[in-house]
Amino acid sequence: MQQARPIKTRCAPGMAGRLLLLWLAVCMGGLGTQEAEAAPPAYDGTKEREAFWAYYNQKVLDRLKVDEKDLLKKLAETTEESAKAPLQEALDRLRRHLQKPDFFTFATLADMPADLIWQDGLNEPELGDPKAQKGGTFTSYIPSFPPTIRTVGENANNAFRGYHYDDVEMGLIGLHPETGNVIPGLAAQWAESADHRTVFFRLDRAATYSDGVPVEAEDWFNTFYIQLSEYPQNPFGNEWYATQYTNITRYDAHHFSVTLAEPKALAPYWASISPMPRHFYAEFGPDFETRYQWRTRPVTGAYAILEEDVNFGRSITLTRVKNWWAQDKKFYKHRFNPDRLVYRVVRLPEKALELFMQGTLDAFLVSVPDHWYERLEVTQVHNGYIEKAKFYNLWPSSSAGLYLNVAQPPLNDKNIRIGFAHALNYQKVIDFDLRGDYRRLNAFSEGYPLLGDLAIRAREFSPEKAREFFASAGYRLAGPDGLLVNDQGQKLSVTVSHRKSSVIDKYMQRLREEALKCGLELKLESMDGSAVFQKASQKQHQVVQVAWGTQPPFPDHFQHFHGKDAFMEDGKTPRPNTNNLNSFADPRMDELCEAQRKATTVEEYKRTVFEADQIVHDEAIWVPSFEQNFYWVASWRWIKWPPGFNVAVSQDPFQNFVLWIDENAKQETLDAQRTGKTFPEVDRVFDQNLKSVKGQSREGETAGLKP
Amino acid sequence: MIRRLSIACIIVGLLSLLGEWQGLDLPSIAWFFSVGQVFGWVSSVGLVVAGGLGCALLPARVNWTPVTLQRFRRFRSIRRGWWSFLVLLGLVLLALLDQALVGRRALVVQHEGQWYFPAFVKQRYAEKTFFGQGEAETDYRQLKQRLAAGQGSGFVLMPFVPWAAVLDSDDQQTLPLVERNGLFYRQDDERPYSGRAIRFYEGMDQVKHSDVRVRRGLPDGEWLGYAPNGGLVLRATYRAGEKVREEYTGEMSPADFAKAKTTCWTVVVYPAIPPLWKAGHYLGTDSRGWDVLAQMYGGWQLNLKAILIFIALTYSLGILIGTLMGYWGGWFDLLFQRIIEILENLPFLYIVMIVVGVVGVANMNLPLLLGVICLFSWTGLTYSLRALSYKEKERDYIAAARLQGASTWRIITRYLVPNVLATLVTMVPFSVVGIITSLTALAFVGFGLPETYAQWGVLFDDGLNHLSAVWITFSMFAIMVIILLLVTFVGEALREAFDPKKFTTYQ
Repeated sequence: MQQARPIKTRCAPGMAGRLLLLWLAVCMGGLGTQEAEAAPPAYDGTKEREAFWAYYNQKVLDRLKVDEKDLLKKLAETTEESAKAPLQEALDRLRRHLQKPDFFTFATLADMPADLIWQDGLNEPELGDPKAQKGGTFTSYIPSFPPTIRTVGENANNAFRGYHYDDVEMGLIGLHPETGNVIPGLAAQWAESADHRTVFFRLDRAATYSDGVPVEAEDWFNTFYIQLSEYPQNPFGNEWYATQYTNITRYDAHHFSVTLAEPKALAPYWASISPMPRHFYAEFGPDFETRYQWRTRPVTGAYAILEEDVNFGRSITLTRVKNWWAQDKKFYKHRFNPDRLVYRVVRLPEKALELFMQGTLDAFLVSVPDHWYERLEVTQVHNGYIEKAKFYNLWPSSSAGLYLNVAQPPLNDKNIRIGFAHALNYQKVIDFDLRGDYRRLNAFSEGYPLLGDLAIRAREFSPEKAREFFASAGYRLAGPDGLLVNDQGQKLSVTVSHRKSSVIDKYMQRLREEALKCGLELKLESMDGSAVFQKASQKQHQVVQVAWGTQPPFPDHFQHFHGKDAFMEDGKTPRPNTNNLNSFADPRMDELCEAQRKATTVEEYKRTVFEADQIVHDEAIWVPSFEQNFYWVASWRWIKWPPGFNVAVSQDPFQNFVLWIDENAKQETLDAQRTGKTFPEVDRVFDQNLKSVKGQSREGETAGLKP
Repeated sequence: MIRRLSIACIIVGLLSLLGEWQGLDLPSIAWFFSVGQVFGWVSSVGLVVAGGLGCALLPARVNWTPVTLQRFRRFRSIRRGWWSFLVLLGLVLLALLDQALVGRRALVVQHEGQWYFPAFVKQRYAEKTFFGQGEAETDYRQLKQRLAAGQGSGFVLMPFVPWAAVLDSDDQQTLPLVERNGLFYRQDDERPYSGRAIRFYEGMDQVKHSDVRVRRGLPDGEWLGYAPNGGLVLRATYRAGEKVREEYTGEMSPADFAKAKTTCWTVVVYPAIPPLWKAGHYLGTDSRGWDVLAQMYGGWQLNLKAILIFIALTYSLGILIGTLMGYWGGWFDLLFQRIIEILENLPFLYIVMIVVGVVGVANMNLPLLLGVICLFSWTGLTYSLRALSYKEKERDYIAAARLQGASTWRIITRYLVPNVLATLVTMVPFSVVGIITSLTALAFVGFGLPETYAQWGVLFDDGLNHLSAVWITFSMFAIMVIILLLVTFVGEALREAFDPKKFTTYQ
């Protein structure tokens, strides 16, 4: 539920406020260290939690009744037959829900349907390398120290969360990163109801937290309790858990079911939630955020943070859980190999690269071509101490590109938007700044292994076409500075806000230079990352460059393009704090977005995604940029990788924890460095996932030249 | 002296008006109208009028006092300072040449019997004027190459540095590889080549055919082949020249791929491009592909503008308030002392960062940035002027002027300021050094002006991020040191020449 806030205009008080905030931020900077303060008094939230089930069930019931009344009233007022049908449908659905309105249900094993088909996913191939050895310390870096190690509440969605929660903690089930099929996690077995809405789980009896406490069904009730609570600042969780799920039922300590609001394809995946241990969150209350800010959590995954390993401002270390309950399970036994994972804070990648070449860091994920081609031409590489690998991976594209705010003139004109897309020479950026190693993105939802390729091609750079479209929008004459001017004397100028970084600044300036050839001025607003996103989510931008964090298996157009997130009730004020950065509202799109959220088959997903992407392309509200379809990693010789290097569906080489440390090789390498012994240079390419790279249409150049 | 200055003013004003009327883009003079129409008209007409009034009303020569003349002589006799002054003057004159010296537009184009002067007219010639039918502005460097290659008759004369200071990046530069005894070498290089070798489709700029990793002269590692549309055709692996694996994706048939006409094997030189005379990069480019020399020149021009505006603003404000504080004293003095204390205690860099943060780098411009800097800089002058005025106003000549009924304004401008001028003059070089380093530092930390301004700090930043491209840091270091040294030498000589302990007189 988005809270409607009044839009801040750029008036003087707003500016003064911002000044004050900045000022405060500057002053506070020096005060900084957030050492653990004196422990707050004990608090027991158990009673409050127990009371929550009945309270929330009643709340849901009340809301449903109000909705029913509203619908009946609307139905009575509506005279048109065509408008009646969807209302009637909604009413029927609501009434079905009213027959079983409870959100939290406590039942017995006898109540569980008897005809369930239980699955265990054990036919999928193993992950990792059987040769992998346990042990050793793996050191890598993070660019900044996390503001908290809580997983819910203010700042919990920080960049470090993935390292200690998303990638490590176990869900009920997982998706196999090679095949995309369901594999067991905390649930040893699962079963789907016939309507694809309810998923039954049978917990693994061996499953325990790292402190030895067994994992039980009530811990998922606790997850709902915490996610639905208003104690932490958690609007996304509040909305997601209230609207995506309608019921959780406990049958016994090891059996429970989760019901989704709408039937979905891959229902077990959507119902897979991580437990929140009751004994750890016992003190959940109004001061949860401060109380749990630095409290280390018992985990179900392979790594836990020990209290003494939070080294403020310097590093955080994860330690492998002794006798981890899943250490011999099929999909987990060859992974999570190093004993300790050290994340050191190194603010600049340049410095991290130096530390890596010294041997302080064990591996380095290279993202800048300059680093790969020039900086890594060092003796450590030539002598075989550091090994390089290029791995073609499969991962959904981050839909990186320029998001055009159609509420802002001149971008409300479709011709301008299409001309704008033609005026951006991303191909030159790729060839020139990125040394041809990246590829142009074409469609909004690319790289989802289950969906396949789309036929959409990004608009190519073409000054002629761009000028043609600008002309049809009224910008015909060129001024002395080369910019097009319309009849009112307005210059064709668009401001692009983007994150400040030397690489991004550089290619944005290239785009600016090239756009000038089309008579378009791109003003570049290079800002701090969070400031850019803040500006964009307040819809104060004209164009913003954004890349999203995406996850297989499916994209979500709803949050980006649904009209409800575009404008406030008045239909023209952009709605702040939503991900609809285009202020785009289109009934066709709304329909597709809703159909996508309700899709029950992969085919249905495919249709809605493809059609929605086509609208995005036709309306030119998003200009695709580029993406890597591989990653480069350099690692010291003692870091060993499986024969195929990594799992296909992975965003980075560390995410699936398939590497291990060979202590003998480490000693050998260190000795060799002392004695001057060398090994053959290793620079490997793993292109088993590189199926094809589609050609781009290049303006003019290739016409008629196809051999 | 005054007559000559007046005549110069009239000429500049008239040229500016003429340029506006005829659509000419005269070096430096076109600046008045490029700021804005109103500014252009006001300043041009103002210059003409002021020049005319100067001729009519002011004496033709300045009657320098013997002391001043003595000081000038003294200044000239300090050879290091005097020569530094001349060199600086020369650099200022170079800066005034503007696009005649550094720029992307040709000075003269003769094409099919027609003459064009693209650098000196406001009109922009589209590509279709010469070749093709593009609407975008002609790339004169390309035109020059085409004409040199015999496509069409005529010639192109480019400025000495054929690159603009900003938003003008070089297209990919390539160097050919030669094959000797089955190994790849760079021309004039004894060691076999290691790195990436690329072949392009012939006649199609920058469309890759093959992309190969080479080690010690032999293909070693990944070998990728592409179709003309950029689709992947071939992927293969080599080890020390031996093919280990080869796979075609079916995007194009292997026979067609092998038969395709390609360029020879080349090394693509990515920015930062080292000094490359054939391309006109006398000091190489930065990592964006922008010419370093052109940016140094543009940065120097920007610094000069900044110095002019900065000195004019801070000195007029500082002198006025400083002398009034000393001359009036009392509550005015007290009030401004407090104001100055507040201003001096605000962390100036943070304020600039906040202003840039609020306004946005995209919307920053030179006057705004200088305005903020000036707001915090005029205070530095006031205290010494206040002290000097306190001292001077007690002297008899001021008392005499007052007794004769001279107004405050007259006393300040005619008696106080001329007598503290010696001190002021010696402060100017410090201010010059200060503003140059401030602008450079701000650009270095990323809180300067947008990329439409050439800034030294940006180059410094780029050089430090790409230490292997030594030509960037080296050039920047050299120019900074030279300019700052010259200014310091001039300052030293001025202080020496204007030392009141040597020659003093009271009016």
